[in-house]
Parts: sequence; structure tokens; C-alpha cells
Amino acid sequence: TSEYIALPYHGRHTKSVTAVKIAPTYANVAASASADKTVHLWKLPNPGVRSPKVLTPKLTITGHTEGINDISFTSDSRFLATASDDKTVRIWDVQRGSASALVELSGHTNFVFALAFNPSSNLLVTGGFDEKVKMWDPRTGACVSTIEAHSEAVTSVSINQDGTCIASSSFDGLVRLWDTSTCSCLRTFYAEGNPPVSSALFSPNGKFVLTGTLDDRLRLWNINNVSSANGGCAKTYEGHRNSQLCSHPAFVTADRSNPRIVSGSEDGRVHVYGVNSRGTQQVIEGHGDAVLAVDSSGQVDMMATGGMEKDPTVKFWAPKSARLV
Amino acid sequence: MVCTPMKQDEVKESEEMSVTALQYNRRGTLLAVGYNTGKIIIVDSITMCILREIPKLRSMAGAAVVGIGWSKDNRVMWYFTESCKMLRIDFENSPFVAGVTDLAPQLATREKANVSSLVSCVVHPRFQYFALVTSAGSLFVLEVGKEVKRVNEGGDWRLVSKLHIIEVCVGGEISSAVLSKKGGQIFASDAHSQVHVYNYSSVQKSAELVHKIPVSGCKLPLTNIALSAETIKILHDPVMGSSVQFSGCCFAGEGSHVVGLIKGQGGRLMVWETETGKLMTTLEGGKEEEGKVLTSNIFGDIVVGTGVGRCWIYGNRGGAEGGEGGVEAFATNFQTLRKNVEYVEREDELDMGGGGGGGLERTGGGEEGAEGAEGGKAGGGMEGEEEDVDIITTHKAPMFESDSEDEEATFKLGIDR
Repeated sequence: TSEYIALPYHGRHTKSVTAVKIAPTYANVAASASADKTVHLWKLPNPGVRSPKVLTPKLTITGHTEGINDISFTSDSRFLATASDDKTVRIWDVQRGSASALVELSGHTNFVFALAFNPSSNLLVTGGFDEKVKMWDPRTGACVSTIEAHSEAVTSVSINQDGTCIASSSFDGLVRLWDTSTCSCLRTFYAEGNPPVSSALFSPNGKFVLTGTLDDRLRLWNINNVSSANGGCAKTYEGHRNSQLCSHPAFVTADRSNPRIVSGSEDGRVHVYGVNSRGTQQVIEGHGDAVLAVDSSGQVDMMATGGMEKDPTVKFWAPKSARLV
Repeated sequence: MVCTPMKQDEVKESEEMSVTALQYNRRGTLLAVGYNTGKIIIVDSITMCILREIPKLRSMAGAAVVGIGWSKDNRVMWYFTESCKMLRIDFENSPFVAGVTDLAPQLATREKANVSSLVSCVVHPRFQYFALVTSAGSLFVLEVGKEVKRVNEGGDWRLVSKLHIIEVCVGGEISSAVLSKKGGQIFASDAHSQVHVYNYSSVQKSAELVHKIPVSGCKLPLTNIALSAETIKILHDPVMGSSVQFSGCCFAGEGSHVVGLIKGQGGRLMVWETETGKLMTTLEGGKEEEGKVLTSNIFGDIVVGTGVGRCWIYGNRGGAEGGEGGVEAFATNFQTLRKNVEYVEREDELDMGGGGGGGLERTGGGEEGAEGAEGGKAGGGMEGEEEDVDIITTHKAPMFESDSEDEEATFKLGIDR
């Protein structure tokens, strides 16, 4: 009863799904971004209510001139930021469903690949292929700081739970921690062999950083122990395939007694690992193509996944015990 | 602590504007700046952008803002004006001004004067009361409570605000006041170089004088006081000595440093280390008439509000030398050298495969010799990774939980020379 099964509906894009996020305050609302230059907002049907198998998006965001790489909700789920290959970041009011972006943030000189709001939602951090991490005031659109963060494309940014620290990852193999207020580098760490890093994500309590590297591994780093002396890698997870594409894992913490990590795989599967056991709890035959986008709800035990070109669908998963089926 | 001017307030409308009040919210993320014209702006501490501008009310033209207080959730702000008006701002609703209360008649009656005006106001951490200092040198405590009252004859019962004013010291030449961390004590400085200590009791609704402490060696009126748990030393300009006067002071870095605003020198600041009394640095200001000084306990910024309406914000941005932000943070293979230390190169330093030279240090941790099963089902065998980790539990920062802490001893009476 704790194994995830597919909910009887899914969403669809016309090109690869690049990012999926479940709204922080509404477990039945999710957003998905795609290379087809759109973001769809999905409202999931209530359990027991008959619904069509293919969902109609509640809202479709258009406006970017190139594919969208990442999305982030504000803490109140009212606004959504999108990062695109057109080198801009835009902020949308999804509650009102306005047709045009509220703010457009321009400054990156190459694809904007990753972004994240801080918990107070008064700061937006972005990372791009121009190797920079930028901080923005989302209300005014002003660029507050620019950090020459890496020597290759920035693949992921994450902010800790109190907004004081930013983690950035890059194809240069490094993960760096930055002080939000001073923009100073606090730590740099990397795995043996220096594999390109495709993702970096703070744990819910901000004490650990989960990184995905293109050596088919996820690593959980204790940021207080990271040093050249003892490494600081607390856990390593392997079993999924990730050697070419940027896949972003997620923490599953709705069941606090059984925290897990979910990761997409380039073979179309979705792997669920136990945080402490490091073992694979479940392998889901998720999609017909690589899965790069996964997210988990913090409120109910539910996940969303998105597939690439050959299967550009957004699927939702929940255990039978969650009574969402 | 290296501080450089970061950004100045761009809302300078006229030469007549000056900063009269500064207050950070509880988490240090928002800075409220009050002006002599009655206007207030709200600045985001992280982005340094002006978020809101609260215009002066027409009915209070020319009444300077003398004190500002934030609610815990940043949704409500109170501020006091020179003309004894208390305004409540509700940011959730528009229009912002939720209520205006005129305290002038009540204060004037108690001071037996025709008119009263406020010099400063301090807000209790949990909004139990406000400490008001008037231009006549009186200190009052204003409590704002609620009571159920029938508004009109035969009308509905409504919850209305009730003001209760406590006379703490009338005509005592009080110049400024601060509160202890939990608001149980009020410290007021006067024109005779004394600090009055009052115990405030919310039960008896009174404030009782418990100490009158002369600041020994000081013959000048006290302009400002700030509190810390440590013994206070005498801090002064080591070169100019007592010829340098200060118009304001505050603690920075949670008491590790003291910031003094020099009077009449265009916003110059002096920063001392509290423990040693050593002068750390002098910060040049904007060559403008100084007004107020305030520090943020969260970010360590120092704000100086000037007499021409600008705010100079000094922050430790861009990374400090050594330690965090130093070379080690960027490349774990490197070490920051101390200044003026000659680096002695080891013989084998540049040898290929030798100690310390070339290649990346192993930081993967525990992977050598590990055998991960195909398909990763077992996932075991990684050395050093058996210990359980907690990724969920968050420990609250004590600075935001002041209500749960005991009231500490505020200061010792002796002064070390």
C-alpha cells in the first residue's frame, strides 16, 4: 500500500517536459514547463470524482520565445517564475491568470537554466549558461547581485529554508555555497572524479545538499562537514541512469517517518530511494522516454513526473494509502 | 569588520527633508525610515530597493516621525510623530492608515503644559507598551489595550482600543530611552549624565524607579544609550580624546562592536570592539549633517540617517579577508596566507604525484572499495555512510525566540578604565 501507483489522469505537452513543480500551498495544483515554450498549470481532480484521462490545463502561460527550462512558485503559490532559453526570466500571476508577465528580468547573456525563490519570496536566484548566478528583486525586476559562480554552465540553484544560503551546481563539477547577503563563497565541494553536476538541492532543514552528477549517482552532503579532509558525503544513491542529461531529484517528506528521494532516470524509470537506507524502495516504469522532471508535494504523499520528447506527458503518482486514487 | 557605503536613499525630495527615525523589523529584512516631513519609506534589506512609500497625512503636515515599531508578522506598523500622534499602518489593507490617535491632550494635561511634543518613542518587543519621551523631558508609558464597549447609546458592543498612560517621570530632563530585551525594564538617560532604570510591571500597570546610575567621568548630557549584557568600557577617539562628541550610538554584531556617530562631522562613524575597547575603524560618511544611527542584528548593516534625507548603509558585502569568502572557500586545495608572511615553497611541491601538488583531492568520501549492487536495490557497502541523517528537523534560531529566554542581567554598574 505504500508503493506509488499512477493516478488515472495525466497532462500533456507537445515537446519535452523540462520541469514540474507542485504548488507549495495547494497539493492539487501543479505546474509543468516544456521545450514547447509553454507552462501548463494543472488542477488535479478530487479523489472519487470522474475526470478525463487527459487533463485540460487550468492555465497555459505563453510568451517566452524559446523553450522553458525551470519554474519556481512563490511560497504562497500565487506567482510563478519561469527561466527560458530566450535568456529572460519572467514572473507570472497564476492566481489571476494574467495573459502577460508581470515582470521580465533580463541580464543573463545565455540560456537561463535554473531558478529558485527564497522562502520569503522577496528574492529570486537564477543560474544560466553564462556561468553566472544572479539575484533579483522580483517586485522591481532589478538585478541585485551577479556572482561569477562557475567556469561552466550553471545547472541548478537552490536556497535553504531560511534564505541565508544559496547552492549552485555546474558542469564544471563543482557545487558552491554562497552567502545570500554578502555573496561570498562559503564552501566548494566536488565528488571524486569531478563529474559534471546536474543538480543541487537543499534538504528541508538546510543541513544537507543533494547533488546529482553525471556518473549515475546522487550524493547527500552534510554542508557543515564538507572539507577536503573528510569529504562530507553522508550518503550515496545509485541505480538510476544519469550520464548525459540534467535530471533534478526531489525530497519526499510528506511521510516524516520515511523520508525518501525520488529521481528520474534516462531510461524512463523513476527511482525512489530511502534517505537513510540508501536502498531503492521502488522503481517505477514511468515514461516512454528519459525523465528529467520530478517533484514531490510537501503536504500529501504525491509525486509528479515529466517525460522527454517521445513521451512529453506529466504524470502523477501516489500510494494507495494516500487515498488519492 | 570592513564596512563601506553601499547605497543611499534615492527619495530625497527637498533639502528640508531629514531622517528622524529608523527601525528594522524583527527579522532584519525590512528597514523603515521616517522623515521630518512625516513620510516613511520601507526598504528591503537584501535588495536595498524601496518597497513602499507611506506619504505624510495632510492633517499632520510638518510633523516629524519620532518612533516606529513593527508587528511580529510585518503586517502592521505603528509610528509616532512629533505632534503626539500615533498612527497604525495596516499593510494588508488599503488605504494603509488604519487609525490615528491624538495623544497630545492627555500628555499635555499630565505635563501641566499647553502643548506637548514627542522627541522619541521605543516599542516594547511584544507590543505591550510604548515608551514616549517628550520635549519637556518627561517619560511616559503608553499601553494600548482592547475593551468591549457600547459605541453608541443602545448600539452594538464593539471591541475598541483603550489607551492607558503611565507617568514614569514628568519633567525629569529625560533625553532618550531604551528597553531591556523583554521589556521589563526601561532605561532613560538625562541631561545630568545619569541613567534612570525603571521596572515596568504589566500587572500593576506601573513603572517604578529602581536605580539612578551616574555615568562616572561624564559631565555632558547623555544623548543616547544602548544595552548589552557586558561591562561597558569607556570608548572614545584615541587621538582627539574628549573633544569628540557623539550624537548617537548603538551596538552592532549582537554586541560584539559599538558604533558611535560623531557629532558635527558629517556622518563619520567610529566602530570599537566591545570586549577590548579597541577602535577598529572609522567610517567616512556623506559629509552631511548627521541624524540617526541604527544597526541590523541579522545582517550586520549600519544605517546612518542624515539631515538631508539620505540614508547611508554600511554593510560587510563582497566577502571578508580570510575565513568565509576567502580562498579556501573557492578551491579546497588552496590556503589563504596570513599577511606579511613569506611563503616558503616545499621541495617536492611541484613534483608530479607528490604531496600537495597537482590533481584533485579526493572528497567523494567513503566510496573507495564500495560495491553497489546492479540495479542499486541493496545500496549497501559504502563505507562511512551507515549513520542515519535527519533532513527534516529544523532548529529554530534563538534570536527569534526571545520570548522563551530568561531576562538576562543587563549590565554591571562598574566601568573598567
